[in-house]
This record gives sequence, structure tokens and C-alpha cells, in this order.
Amino acid sequence: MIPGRPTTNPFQRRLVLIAGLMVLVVVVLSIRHAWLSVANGDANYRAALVALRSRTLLPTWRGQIVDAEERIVARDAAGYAVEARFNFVVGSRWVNAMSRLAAEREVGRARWRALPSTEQEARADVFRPEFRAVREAIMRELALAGDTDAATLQTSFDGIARRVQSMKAHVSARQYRTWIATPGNEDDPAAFRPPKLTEELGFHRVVDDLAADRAYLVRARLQELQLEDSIRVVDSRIRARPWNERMVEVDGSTLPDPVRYEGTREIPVRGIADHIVGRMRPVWRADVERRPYQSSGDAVDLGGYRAVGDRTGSYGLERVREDHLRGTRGERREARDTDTIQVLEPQPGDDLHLAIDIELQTLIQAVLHPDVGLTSAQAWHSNPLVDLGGGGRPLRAAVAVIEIETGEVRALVSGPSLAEASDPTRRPAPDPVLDAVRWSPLDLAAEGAVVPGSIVKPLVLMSAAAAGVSEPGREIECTGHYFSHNQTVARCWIYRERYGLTTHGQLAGPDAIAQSCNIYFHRVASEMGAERMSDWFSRFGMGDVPRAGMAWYESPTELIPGHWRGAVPGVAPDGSEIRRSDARAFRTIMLGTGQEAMAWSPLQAANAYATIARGGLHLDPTIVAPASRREPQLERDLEIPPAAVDAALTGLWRSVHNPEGTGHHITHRSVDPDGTEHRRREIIFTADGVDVWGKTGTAQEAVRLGPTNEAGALTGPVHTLTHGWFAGLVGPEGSPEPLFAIAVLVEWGGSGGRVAGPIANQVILALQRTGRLPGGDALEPIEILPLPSTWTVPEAPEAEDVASPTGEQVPGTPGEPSVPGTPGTPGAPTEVSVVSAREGPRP
Amino acid sequence: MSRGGAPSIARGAVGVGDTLTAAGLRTATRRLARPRISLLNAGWLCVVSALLLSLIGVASIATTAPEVAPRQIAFLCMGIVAAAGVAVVPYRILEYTAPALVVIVALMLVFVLLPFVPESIVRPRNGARRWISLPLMDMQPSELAKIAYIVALGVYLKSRRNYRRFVGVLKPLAVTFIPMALILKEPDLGTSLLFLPTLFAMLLAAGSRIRHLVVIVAIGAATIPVLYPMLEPHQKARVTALVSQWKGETRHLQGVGYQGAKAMTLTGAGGIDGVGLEHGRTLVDHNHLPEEHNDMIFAVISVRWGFVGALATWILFLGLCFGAILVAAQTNDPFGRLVAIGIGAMLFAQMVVNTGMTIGMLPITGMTLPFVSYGGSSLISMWLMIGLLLSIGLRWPQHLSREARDFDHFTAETD
Repeated sequence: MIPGRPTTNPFQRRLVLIAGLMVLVVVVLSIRHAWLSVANGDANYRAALVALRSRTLLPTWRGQIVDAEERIVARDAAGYAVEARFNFVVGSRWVNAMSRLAAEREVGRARWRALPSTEQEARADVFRPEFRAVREAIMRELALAGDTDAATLQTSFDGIARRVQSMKAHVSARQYRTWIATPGNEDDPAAFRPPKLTEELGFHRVVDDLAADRAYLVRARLQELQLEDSIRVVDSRIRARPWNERMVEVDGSTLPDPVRYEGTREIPVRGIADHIVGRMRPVWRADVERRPYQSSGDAVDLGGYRAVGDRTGSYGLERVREDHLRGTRGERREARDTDTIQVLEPQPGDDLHLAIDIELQTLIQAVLHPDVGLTSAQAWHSNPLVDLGGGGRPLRAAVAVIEIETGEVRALVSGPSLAEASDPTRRPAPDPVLDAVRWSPLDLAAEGAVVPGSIVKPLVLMSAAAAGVSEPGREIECTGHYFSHNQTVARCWIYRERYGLTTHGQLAGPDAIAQSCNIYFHRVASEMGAERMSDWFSRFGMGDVPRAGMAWYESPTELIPGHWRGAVPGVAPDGSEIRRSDARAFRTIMLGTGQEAMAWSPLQAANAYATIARGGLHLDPTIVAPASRREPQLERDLEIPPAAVDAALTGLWRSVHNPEGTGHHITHRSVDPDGTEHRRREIIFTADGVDVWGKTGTAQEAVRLGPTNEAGALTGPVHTLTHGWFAGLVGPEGSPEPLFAIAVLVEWGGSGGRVAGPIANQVILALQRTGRLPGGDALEPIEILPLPSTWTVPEAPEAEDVASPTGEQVPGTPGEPSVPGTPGTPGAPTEVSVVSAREGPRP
Repeated sequence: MSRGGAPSIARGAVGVGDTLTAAGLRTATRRLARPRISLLNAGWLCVVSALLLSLIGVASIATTAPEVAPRQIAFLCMGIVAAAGVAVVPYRILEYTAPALVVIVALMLVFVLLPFVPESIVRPRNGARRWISLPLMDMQPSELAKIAYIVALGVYLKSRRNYRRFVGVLKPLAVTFIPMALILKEPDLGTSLLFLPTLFAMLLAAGSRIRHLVVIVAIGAATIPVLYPMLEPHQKARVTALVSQWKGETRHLQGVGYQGAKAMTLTGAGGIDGVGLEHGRTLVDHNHLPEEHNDMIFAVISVRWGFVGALATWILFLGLCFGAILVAAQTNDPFGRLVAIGIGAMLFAQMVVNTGMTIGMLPITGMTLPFVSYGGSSLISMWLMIGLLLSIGLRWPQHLSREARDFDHFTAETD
């Protein structure tokens, strides 16, 4: 102890110790605070400011899709939707919550809070029936507004509830795994509390695409019932399709006799050009990953995708030209502390101009409607499906129309459309055998590649001339069969017992095309060889990828994987090997008649015929007008001798105009009003004021029909069915140059001349009706008529007008009377076939 | 003042030549034993600190919830009046009334836990049964329990010396678990944990051996893994969120870690000297800080006045606690010393828990910042403590008082 200094006792030292500890604790706290406020003060300040900076996105407008005549095919339009809170969706939760709230209001908040739980429940019970009734009434009104019924709406609600509950189960399970792995939790698993999901607290869309008047009524009703906290009407942009549905008048007098009727009939057409235009869908994770709205930090891409509430093109042009059509959002930035507002205006998407004539598209789609009778399996089509019990069954069909000069696709129609195929009232009845003949929404016109059959014969003639193998004027004798030692295969279609084993005799190229002589083109193909044939088919676009705005075809469709762009035939062995093997020789010569392992789409067929019309100049077909094209339209000269082009065009001309031509007429059985049955010949192309060049094709394909096994493969017997083709050109009468190339395909339709020819005639009439070709009837262009709420099947044609009612079995009778009313007179055949399944097996 | 020596007759208590009758002797003894009132004492430091803290609280509450600031002022006035009432009453009355006080508070703690008590009387809030509904304001028995515990522990420790032994320390520790358990059952983990630092501070002041206290703390730390699973799920979730936050994870930021994250952000946003009233109000409002005028008031102080404001708050708390320590140092009454230390420790511990959770050092608990947070029950009970401190500070024991507990003479007796 130092004298003079104050002394401390132990108690005082303890007090000093306590005070020291307190100071130490405060120093530690201060250091931590300094780390937050001094060292990281700016960062925390910025983080706090985020709450003051509100960022409101301003919606953009998706670009319009317009047709060649500037008619709007798709556009953004204002719409409304109804959203409901999750507890309303679940129902019982909402009734419970609202009843408790009402009871609380009744007794007052303070008193309510003082009430025991049991009494609270008892008081809430009084209100429960009332709120149940309110919910049911609202459900009915929402169903009415959404054009559905309460049960369907409840099913939709159940789906939302299931989805959220499934999501909750998934998230809970994941969190539970983490939670139970924490030391100490394993002893009391029941203590785990599942998380509350945002989806359980937020709104869910329950009615979409609500019209303004209905939205107003629903909103007023919700306000009246003071239910805005539970259900709300929100603005919702919809993608309107003004040309999605139309009622089209089809003139029955222009149809073939078996399906002809008096006057006109209104055909409801739905889903016009929906294969081309596509639809919208909510974004998927892949979309967000491809172009996220916000990838990291505060940086945002205003054109990017947000996981919730954003939409994108699902398929078709809406998908392929997404970046073209999709605009950039605007942004409204508000700083609440400084009261400043910055607005970045939204940038709408670019319009997309189509080469398609939507009116022509509509008219053609109406023609493909099964109710017209041209695209269903019928006996007068010589369709083998009828023999299998498939009479009247709707078939898939497609039409492509290309303007020859520009390569622009004016119509690209596939039937059924997506909307038609999804209509359950139109779906064919299930049939274990015939279900393999699908009536599904395949874009047959562009993606449905099938065996071409005889429509390749002009190409073979031109190829052989260009390759220097065979001059178009060279004559070859049709012997009826190609192999001298085997007369059951590789025969000419005319070489049949019922025709007296006749032949075409000596033929030059044009007549070989007109009469579709198989032997002529077998011979040419044999001389060309498989490799050169394959090469030339490729030059004409078979197996090619269409470009210039049709890029979506670059991705394989799931419906025909690997088959979508068509297929050029594989390279067969050289000539010496062919001579050693009839089978290999058979495969090569079949290339000449379009009957081997090759396939193309109606679009490719039409473009190949447009190439013929251009004298061998190949242009990429384009569905998009030049203003909206992303890639240049490529062209290449196939360097085909003009004489060969002339010969091919002459053959196509004669095919349609000469009675011997396969595209000249069809023959069918007719019954007069007095009951007299006779054969009747009908000219296929009836349009005035135009010239038609064309070629029919009946492409055989061996198909196994019947039930499927566990692997999904068909197990029934093999049948030989036929695709009906017509490819041709059309132009004003007297003009040396056609204007349009047309290709028609009816899948499993039967005889090309019988099934595809009349459709091609209707396409020409449609071209006239839209003013793209001279002439035409007096029918007005398509009117915008309201569609009936449910589709009704038109009544059957009058009996006296129909010689061969739909579904009646009329065997194919090529070579039947050339003059109406004179049965038995040999006439021009309308059918081209390579080999009949009944008359001889394929090698 | 005599310390440690034998009692002596104060000069002037009995005059020379006075006739010393029995009654006169009793009167003189009473007069000699009566505490001397000393207006100049450290208790005023506590009063001033508490008053400044309360004013900071009112200003902070007015920043974010101006509509309740007048009520807080009213509570403050009530608290000051209550403190004055307590200060004028000799605190040693509590020595005699402590058993009754303990029984009453214990009954109240049990009462709020009884399941059959109607919710009109004990209304659960967020699942906790802490409040008894009264006409003017709700009352938390746990707030009274703090005072009762300090008084009871002071009474217990003042008359014993066995806490110089390890076993002797364990007894008050075991007794402490009783109110802790009752409060933990409410549940109110934060409040229940305040009793332990208070106990240790009072034991330290009473003269317990430091090594014994260190051993107990070490044992307590070792039992944490055993005790942790006994926590309620939400309490464990808060601990998990805090650990997750330390690790830099963001997965709890929108859930259980939301409150802590927002509090830290706003605390840091104030920078060195704060953003001021209007901007601070805007920041707090738009960041949706939960309980911003209550448990999270320290974040409001930080955002409005920055690090300087936070430091000032801590300094005021240190001033308050130092005042309590000085009061303990000034008096030579063992009970008064222990109560003063207990109050200072209790307030300091509560401040540490509250500000620690606000700046992300401790898990979130429902704990108010003494004198600053909004709430009548809390504020009045705090001011009662201040009144008690002032009462101790005002009354210096006279010559006939019990010897002071300086325990430098304990060594020969107990060691």
C-alpha cells in the first residue's frame, strides 16, 4: 500500500471488474456496429434504399402478324382475367376466414379478442352457411363469365389446389430434410413446421380472356359483395386472332358429283392458319434461362423473360419470330425519398408481314373440312380404307400454294387445324384397326413428308435431260412390265387383267407424263442410276430445309422425328450390281415413279413444280413477306435444258387437258333418279378462265394396322394404303406462264386424281374468288359470320344429287367410260399405280 | 463514516449530561439507525441517464410511429411518478416484504400459464402467454419478476456467506431456475436468460469466488448442446437463421431471418451520423422493419442518428449502470448494494440482448430496449428500478446499521 493513495477493498475491486466487463461488452457491440455502419455503411444504405426505389414495369405490345393484304392475323388486345386467393380456391379456408371476420366485426374487435376460442368458433359457425352460399354464387357467376360451368370451374380450382399442395409437399420435404439433419431435431420430428408458400397467400388466375363487358359485371359484383380482397379482376393482355374463326360458304355445284349439293353451304372454319401463326404459352424455365429478365444484381433486360406472368410464343411464327415480335418493356422508376419519377417508354415489337393470303387460306381450309366430303375416306376415291371399314373417316390433308414468280407461299393449309383436331365432337370414333390412320393436328403441309408417287415424274424427265441420260423426246415402249422374267412387280398401272393387260405402247416424254407411264420412268431411272436420281431430287428441294422465314422447320417435329424435311432416296448400288440383283434394281427403278424410300411435303412438292414453271430456277419458298424476312431468299439455277422444261410442261398440260391424261377426269358410279345405275365421267378442273398444268400421284405405302403391343408397335396385318397427290400449276387462260404452283395431299386418301384433283380444283376456284386469278363465280369473299356455339354436322346431301353417297363402296375403276352415261366404254384412266397389293406383292 | 468497525454513538445523538432513560435510549438508537438522507448521490446519474434514454426513446418512436409517441410520454410520466414514489419510500422495507413480493409474483407467473384462465384475462400474443389484461394497460408479470428476483436474491445473499463456497453458489443458481423456468414456459427465452447475468453480477458483488463462477459458466456452456433441443421450434429457427446469416447465406432472409436482416441493414444504413428524421422515417417505413418502435427501436436510433447515436445510447446505459455501481459503492448496506448491482446488471443485460440482436450478434428474441422501446409495462417497471436505485442512493445507513459487506474479512472465516 502506498501511503497517501486511496485504497480499495475487494468489494470495490469487484465493482470495478463489473464496470470493466460492461465497458468491454459495449466496446464489442460498438465494433460490430461500426462494422455495419462505418465499414459497410454505404452498402447497407444502398440496400435500404432499394425499398425506396420502386420499379414498375410498363407493358409492351407484341408486334402484329399481318397477311399479304395487310389484314391482321394476330395482335395484342386488351383483355381481363379473374384471380382468386388461394383460400378462396380451396373454399373451406375462405369460408372459415370470412366467417370469423364477420363474427369479429359483429362483436367488436376488443370483445372478440377477449372471447375464448370455442365461443369464437361458435359465433363464426353462424356465418358459415351464408359464406358457403356466397362462394357458390360467385362460382356460378365466374363460370358464366368464363363460358363454362361451375363444375368445370371447380375442377380447375381443384387442379390449382392440388398443384400448390404438391408444391408445398415438395418444398416441405426438402426443408424437412435440412431441418432433421440439424443436431437436436431428430428427437422431435413432430416439431417441424412446414413453410408457408407464397402461392398459399397470393392470387391464382381462375378465368382467362374475359371480355370487357363481362369483366365489368364481375368487378361490379365483387364490389357489391365486398370481395375484392378475395377475388379480383385484373387486366390481362390477350393475343387476339381476328381471322381465327370464319364461316365460309362453299359452293356445292363445284364439287364432284358424289358430294355435290345445290347452292352453297356454310362451313365453320376454326383455327385458321394456327399451324403457321402458332399460339402463346406461359414461359418455361428454359425461356427464362435463355433470356432472363434479371440475371444478377440490379441489371435487368427489359425484354427478358420473367418466371411468373410472362408469355412467349409456343410454336409457329409466334415462337420462331419471338424476338422479332416481342417488344421491350418500359419502366417507371420512382424514388420516394426525392419524389422523382423516371419513365422509360416501352418499345413495341415489330410487325410480322406474311406472304400468306389469309382469305385464301381460309377458303382452302374450308374445302379441307371433312363435312365438304373431299377429305374423308370414300369409295369413289378408290380408297382401300373403305374396304377396312373406314368409309367416311376424316383424313389429314394439306395444300400448299406458291406464287411462282416470287416463291412466296400464299397458302399453307393443313387439315385438321389445331382447333379442329382438339374438338372432341369432330374426332373419329375409336377403332382398334383404323386408329393408326391418325386425324391429328400435324402440320402436314410443311412437316408431313410422305412418299410422293407419280408427281415426281416430270422431275425425272427433266433430270434425265439435264444429266444427258435421256432426251425428253426419246420414245420408249411401254411393255406393261419392267422385268421380263417377273411380270407381277414393277408393272405399269395399266397392265392389269381387268384392262386386258394393255400397255401404253410407244411413248415420248410428254405423253409418258400425261399418261403416267411407269415403264417409261422405270427405264429412265435405271439409266440415271440411284445416285444421280437422289442428287437431282435434292436439287429440286426434296430433303432440303426451307429457309427465308420458315426457320421453325429447322427443328425436327416430334410427330415425325427425323422425317420432317422429307427424305431423298439413299444411294443404291451401281449399275453392275443392279443387274446382279433384281431387288436392288427394283429399288432404283422405283425412284423414277416416286415410290421408294423418299418423302416430301406438299410445300416441297409445290416448290418443285414452281421450279419447273420457272424453267429450272429454284427459289426458296417463303412464308414471310420480304419486309420481315431475316435471311435472303436463295435461288439456284438447275440448268435444265429448255426443251426438257417444255416437255415437262407439255406433259403436265396434256395430263389435265387430254382425255388420256390422268388429271383430266374422274369416273365414278352414278345412279339416276329413275334408279338406273351407270358410270359417269367428270372433268376434274372446272374453273373458267384459267389454264391448269398438273400431275396426279397415288403413292403406295405398306402400313401395319391394328392394335399395339406393349412397346407401342402396331401388331395387325400389313395393308397397302395410298396417299392421294396432285401437284400442278395454274395461270390465266392463254398465258404461257402459270402464276401459282399448287400441291395437294390427302394422307391415306386413295387415288390422287379422285381425291386430290377435286381439291386442287377447289383451290383454283379459291384463287379466283380472292381475285388472284381471273374468272371465278359470283360468291362474295368470306364474310365474318358468328360461329355457332356448338358445331353441327351439316345434313346429308339430297339423295338425287348424290350418285355415290359418302361411305358407299365404289371400287376404283380407272379406264371406265369416257362419256357420261355410256357405261363400259373404255376411256381415259384416272389412276396411276405402281403395284397393287391385291395383284402382286412388293419385293 | 465508519466501515468495518464496531458501531459507535454518533456525535450529538445524546447530549452530555442527558438523563438516559430507556425510552430515550430507544429513540436515540432509532435515530442513530435511521439512514441519513443524502441528496447528492450517484442515483441521480441513473435518473438522468434513464431520462435521457427515455427521451431518445420518445424521439425514436416519434420517428416511426408518431401516433403512439404521446402514449409513450404518458407512460414516461407515469414511470417517473412511480419512480419518485418508490424513491421516497425507504427501500429496506423490501427486505421485510420480499417474501410476500416473491409469492405474489410467483403466483402471477403461474397464473398466466394456467390453461383454464380465460383469454379475456390472459390473452395469448403470437402464441405467448405473457400479459395480464388490465384496464389501462396490459401487465407482464415477468417484468415484476425481475424486480422481485433482485430483491429476493439481495435478501438471500445479504445475510449469508456460504456463497464463498462452490455449493453455496449452486443454491441461488438453483433458485434462479424457478422464475426462469416459469418465464421460459410462457415462452419468453430472452427475459428468462436475463436472470443469469444478474445472478452472476450479484454473486460477484457479494463476494463469490470468481473461479467458482467461471466453472459454472463453463459447465453451462458445455450443456448448451444438451439444452438446445429443448428450445421451441421458432427459437431454434432464429438461432439457425443467425448462424446462416453469419455464414453469408440468404436462404432465411425472406423467412425467419427477415427481421434480423432488415434490422442490420437499417442499422448500417445510418452510417456515422445518421440520415435524419425524415429520411430515416422513410427508410424505416419502406423497409417494413417489424416491431420498429418496440423491439427494434435500436435500429431506428441507428438509422436516424447513426453510429454516434448508437454510441450515445450505449454510453447512457453505461452511465446508468455506472450510477448503479456507484450507488452500490456509496452505500454500506449489503442489501442496498446487492439490489443496486442487480438492477444495473439486469438493465445492462437486457440492453445487450436487445442491441446485440439488432446488430446481428444474437438471435432475435422478443426483448425491449429498456427505457427506449415503446410499452407502458416495460417502461414503468424500468422506472421502478430507477426509483429503487435512487432510494438506495438517497439513504446512507447511519452508525448502527449492519456492517458493510466488503468481504475482505471473509477469507479467514470461509476459506
